[in-house]
Amino acid sequence: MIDLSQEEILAIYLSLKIAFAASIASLPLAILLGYLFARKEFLFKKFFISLLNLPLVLPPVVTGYILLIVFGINGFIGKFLLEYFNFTFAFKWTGAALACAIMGFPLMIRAIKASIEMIDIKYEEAAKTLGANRLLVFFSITLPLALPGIVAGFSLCFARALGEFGATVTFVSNIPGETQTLSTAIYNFLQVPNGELMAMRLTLISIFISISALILSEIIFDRILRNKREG
Amino acid sequence: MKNIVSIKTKISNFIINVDINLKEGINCFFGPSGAGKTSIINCIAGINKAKESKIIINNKTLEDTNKNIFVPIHKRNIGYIFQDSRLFPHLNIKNNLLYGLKLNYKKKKIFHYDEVINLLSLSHLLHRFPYNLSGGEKQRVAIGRALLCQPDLLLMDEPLASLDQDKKDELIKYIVKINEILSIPAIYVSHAISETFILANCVHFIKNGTLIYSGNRDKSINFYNKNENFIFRDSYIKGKVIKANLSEGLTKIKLGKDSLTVFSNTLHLDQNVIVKIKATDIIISTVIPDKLSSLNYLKTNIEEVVFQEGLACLILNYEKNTIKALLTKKSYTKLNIKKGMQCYAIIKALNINDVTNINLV
Repeated sequence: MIDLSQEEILAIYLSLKIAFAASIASLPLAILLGYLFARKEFLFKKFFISLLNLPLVLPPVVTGYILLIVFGINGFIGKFLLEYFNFTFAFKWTGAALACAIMGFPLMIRAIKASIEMIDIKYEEAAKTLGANRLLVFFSITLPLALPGIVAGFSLCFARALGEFGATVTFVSNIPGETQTLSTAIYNFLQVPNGELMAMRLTLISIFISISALILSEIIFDRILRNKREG
Repeated sequence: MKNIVSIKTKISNFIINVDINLKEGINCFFGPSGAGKTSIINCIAGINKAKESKIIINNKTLEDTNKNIFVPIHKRNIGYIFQDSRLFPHLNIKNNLLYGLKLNYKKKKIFHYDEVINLLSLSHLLHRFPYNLSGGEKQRVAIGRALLCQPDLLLMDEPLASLDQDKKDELIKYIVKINEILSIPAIYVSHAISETFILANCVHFIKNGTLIYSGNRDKSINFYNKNENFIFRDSYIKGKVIKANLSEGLTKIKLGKDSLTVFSNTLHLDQNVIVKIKATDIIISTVIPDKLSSLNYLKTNIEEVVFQEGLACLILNYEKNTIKALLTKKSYTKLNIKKGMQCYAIIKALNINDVTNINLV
C-alpha cells in the first residue's frame, strides 16, 4: 500500500466530499426541472434550457469568474448571504461544491429529462384510475420508472464534479485542506520542482476512484433495468 | 341505483353525442372500430374531458358541465381495465394488485384480496414481474387490480383484443365468473359480436359517435340480425343442448321447435348456447331437403330480399328469429323466390359459442 501524505489524504477526502455534496444537492432540483422540461410547455422554455446548458459550452474559467462576481464576497448574492446569514461560498469547500454542481447540472438534467420523456404516460393514467393523486403518481410511478435516468444523471454529475478544475480554481482558488481537490492538487504539484512523482501518485488515485465510481453506477444501473423491462 | 352517461363532445373532427342509461350487470358497448367507444369510457373515467357532459354513477354525480362539476380521475372510484393491461413494470404482481387496495383501504370492501386471487387464479404469479407474464395472465392481474380498488363501476376496454383465440376463451370464462359475483355495473367495450352476446346483460350499439340501439341480450340479438349495418354478416340464435355425446359423437341443439345436430364433445346436456350461422353457410331449398347429406335445416319464411353488389340477401324469419342468407342472383332467379314465400334453410356449418356454464337466460 502506498503511504499517503496528510495533504494527499485531505485532497482525496475533499474531492469526494465536494463531488457528493454537489451531486446530492443538485439532484432534487434536477428531478423537478427535468420533469417540468419533459412534461410542461411554458414561456421561454428553450431559453431556460439553454441557460442551464451554458456551463457545458462556456470555458470553465468564465463560469468560475461569473460565480466570483455573483457569489464572491462583493458579489450581489454573496454580499447578501454574508450580511443576513453570515454565510459565504468564497474560498470555502461549499464554494467548490457550488462550482461543481453548476458544471455538472446540465449533464444530470439531460439524463433525467430524457428518461422522464421515455415514460409512457399510460402508466400514470392507470395509477390515477386506481385512486392515486398527482403527487402520489409522481412518487410511486414516475420517479421509479425514471430511476435509470436519475442514476445515470447522478453518476455523470459526480464524475464531472470529480474532474472539475477551471471553475473551481477560479472561484475558490486552491487552498490545501479547504478547496484543494485531486485535480487542483495535481496541478499544484506540476508547478513545483520535483513534484512529478507526487502528481503521478495522485493521478493513479484519481483513475482508481473514477473507475470504481463508474463500475458502481453500472452495477446499480443493471439492478434497476433487470426489474424494469417493458411491461 | 342511478347510472347515467350523457356526453356531447368533439375529439379532433369526430363528434360524440350519446345518452346512455346503464343497466345492472355487464353493459356492452358494441360497434365497429373507430365508433368512439373508447373515447366514451375515457370520458367516464375522467381521462378525456367532454365539452358537455352529465355522468352519474352509483347516484354520485361525477361530471355535470351545467353545474360545473368535474370530479378528478383519482376520486371517481372507477376500475379501468385497459386493452394493454398497463401493469406497472417496476412492481411485482402482488404490489400491482395491492396498489389500488392500499389507496382505498378506508372504503367498504366488496372485493377481498384472497377472494380475488382465488377467483382469477393468481396465487402462483404473485412474486413475478409483469414482463414475464403472458398476455392472458397480465389481463387477469389487471382485472384483479381494478376490482381491488373497490370500484363503483368497472370499465373494460376490449380486454381480449390482444389475445389469441385460446387465451380469449380462457379469459372470457374468468370474466363470466366475476360477473356472477359482481354487484356493481360494468361496461365492456367490444367490436366482436360473439363475445358481446356471451357477456352482455345489455348491449348498447354505438356507431359514428352515436347510440343507435340499447336493449337486453335477446332484443339485441334480434336488432343485430335485422340491422342493415350488419346485413352480410352472421345471424345468432339462442339454443339449448338437449342431447349430448350420442353414440356417434353428435350433439343435438334445440332452436325453437326444431333441433340441429352438430359434431361436438365439449357440450353438455342442458347447456345454453348461442349458435352463430354465417350468411354464406346457408343453402335455400323450396322443397323439403330430405335427400341430402346435411342433417340440419330449418323451415322459414322469406321476410325481405335485399340486393347488394350482385348478391341477393334473404332475410328469413324463423320463429321470431331472423336468419340471413346470401344467394347469387342467378340462383335467386332460378328458384323464383318471392317475399312471403316459405323455404327451407339448409345449414352447412354452424359455430357454437360453447362457453361452459353460462346461463344465458
